[in-house]
Amino acid sequence: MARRSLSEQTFLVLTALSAEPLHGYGIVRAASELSGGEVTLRVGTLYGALDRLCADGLVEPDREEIHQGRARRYYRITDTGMAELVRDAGRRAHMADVALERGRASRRVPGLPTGEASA
Amino acid sequence: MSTEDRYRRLLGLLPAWYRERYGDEMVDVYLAGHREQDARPGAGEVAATARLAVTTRLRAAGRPSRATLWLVALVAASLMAARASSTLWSMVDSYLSTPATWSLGADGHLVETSASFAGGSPFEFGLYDLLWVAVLVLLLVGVRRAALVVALPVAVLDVSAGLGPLVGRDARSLPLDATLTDARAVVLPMVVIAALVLARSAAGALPRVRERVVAAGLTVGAVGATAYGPFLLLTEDTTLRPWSFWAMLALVLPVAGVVVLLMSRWLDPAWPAALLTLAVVALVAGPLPAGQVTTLRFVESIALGMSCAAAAAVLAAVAWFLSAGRYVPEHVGETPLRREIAA
Repeated sequence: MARRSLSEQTFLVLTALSAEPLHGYGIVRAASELSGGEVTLRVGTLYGALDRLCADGLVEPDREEIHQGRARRYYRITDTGMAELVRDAGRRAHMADVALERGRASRRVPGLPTGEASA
Repeated sequence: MSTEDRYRRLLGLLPAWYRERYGDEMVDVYLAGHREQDARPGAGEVAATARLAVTTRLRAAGRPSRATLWLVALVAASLMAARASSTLWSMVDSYLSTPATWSLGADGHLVETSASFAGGSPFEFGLYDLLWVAVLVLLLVGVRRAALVVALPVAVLDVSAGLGPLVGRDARSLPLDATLTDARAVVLPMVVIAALVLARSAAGALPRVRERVVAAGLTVGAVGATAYGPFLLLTEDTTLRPWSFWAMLALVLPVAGVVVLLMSRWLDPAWPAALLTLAVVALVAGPLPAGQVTTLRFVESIALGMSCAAAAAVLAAVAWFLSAGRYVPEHVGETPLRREIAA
């Protein structure tokens, strides 16, 4: 059975966690930076994704810290999660390569970097 | 009302276990991004939380617990056992109330020819159905595999007997009380088998013995009361008996639906799921009564029974959806964040 690709939000959450364990708000900020400010995760969306990822074993709780009198739970990506992220990143990269290649070949997009320059 | 209070009120949409597990974290993340006083959650945040509330419950409802599957199997087996007992009782009743007539057989022996089941085989009259009583007892005791072993061959016979007349013989010519042309005979055995098979790998514990006994008792009691109660109390019109067994039960199902809906906050999802099973089977069985449809009153009664069954199905489905929020997935730990800090 073909595995489903990750949604953009899930991909961003996993990518954010791939550097280091983060708490909820840390993931929101990292996802915003990764997307160049285009994606702001809603809290409901973030915890829906985190719960699903925990259920699927791609993410797990790491530790808890007290911050300004409130507890913060940190999450980390599991080995399975990292493998899934790399697989999905490869798929996305392949699709992006194909799209860029066709864009260059068409010569209809001014300023598109050539293959040599981007390599 | 503070920003935190407003957001916590929004989180009230989520199942209790979800708030226990993630509520404080979600508040922390929300407040970190909304530092102004008295901020209201925006439409996007409300929509995301509402979507989370729905998907969480649907996910829980889509993975029925072992208790849910066990009670569904128990209720379906109770119906089959009650039906088999009713069939046997009708046959004995018919036998005892029919004057005996005898004729001389070809071999020179006297042969009884009067009773409705004289000369027929027990299989023809579905007496093997009495094995559902054994299945019911095994489920009450808590022996899943043995119940499955007994239920499988009976279910195969039931399904073939139930489907056979529908596709071949003229069902109306069969004896009414002993007829096998009945959606129950097809649907309920498959419900029992599917629930018992799925229960093997489902999460959670069995319902307690008391719950099992209550579920079976309520089902058999409801069947008995609705099938025979009105005739004992109100009428001797035996022409209503063929449809009464199921259609009359459909009349009381909405009441049970209202009860489980009102109690959905406290009930295990197993209960509304079991009621949903009953209501759906009532809905399927409604248009296929045994016997001839001869009067307008009869047709109207069937329509009323089906409407009640449909209403009960909707009520039970809503109650199941609401109570599914009580199902705590395996991956969620026992200790919520706040308690860990207090410790």
